[in-house]
Amino acid sequence: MTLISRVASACALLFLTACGILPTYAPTAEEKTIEIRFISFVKPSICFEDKTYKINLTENNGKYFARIPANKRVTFSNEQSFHGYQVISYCTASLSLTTESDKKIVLNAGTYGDKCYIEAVLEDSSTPTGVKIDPSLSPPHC
Amino acid sequence: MRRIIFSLSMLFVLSGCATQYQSRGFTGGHTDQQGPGKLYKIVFAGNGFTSDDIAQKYVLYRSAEIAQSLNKPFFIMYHSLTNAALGQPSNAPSIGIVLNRPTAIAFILPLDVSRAAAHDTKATLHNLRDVIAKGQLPTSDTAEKQ
Repeated sequence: MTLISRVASACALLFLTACGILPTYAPTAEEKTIEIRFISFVKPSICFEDKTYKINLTENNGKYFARIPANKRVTFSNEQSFHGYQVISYCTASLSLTTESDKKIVLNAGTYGDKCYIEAVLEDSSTPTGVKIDPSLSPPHC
Repeated sequence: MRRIIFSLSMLFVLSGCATQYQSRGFTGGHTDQQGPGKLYKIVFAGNGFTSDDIAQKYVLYRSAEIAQSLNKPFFIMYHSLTNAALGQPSNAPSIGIVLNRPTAIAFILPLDVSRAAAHDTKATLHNLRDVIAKGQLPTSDTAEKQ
């Protein structure tokens, strides 16, 4: 393989892989955010105002959190892949909700049957289980 | 190099059976975490040799272990956070099967006093003792399922 063809292959590879790369959400100092807990998420991303970002979760005592824009309708997604013998299965689940500053939002990901899902609840110590349904929950917006 | 490959191959062959009741490792096992709210999430991830019934029993047993460690004589089980928020308990963990590998999941609410749909912590540990030790369901239980 000549040097030119090697460079061309490398460029093509970079070009193709760049298609799947999302920018990472990084709030500015002035931007209002809330902290959300993520349980069992593998590859989380958010979308708001028609822009999609991947998010990096930070670990604290075995629990995972991320700062998300406050007071907006945000679509949350989780992508999972399952590796078997000569086969890889992918699935993505999404939902949206509004991120008011006073909410304690918890998102959970899992599989049920052969499907993957995500769900969201609000922490509320006044309920018997300490969680309640978020009334703003709705299908993905973007 | 060949020896390493052979040793690894043998390791895979020898360990190529159902995931045992164990803390999560390379071939699967159980994990648990506190929260959200007053709940605990219990998960058991099996391999291709693990039946979904066994995965569910392992989560039930682990749930009882967690309740016992908290000195709670009872616990209620939920399939999901949504079910917990709606107050809809279940008898058994939920089960997801992707690429023939079962993953059993439950959220539990440890309790001081019994309530409708509550599991008895001591009775659960006692009843599932043999299943945990042998890694299989009793024959009568298996027959009932069939």
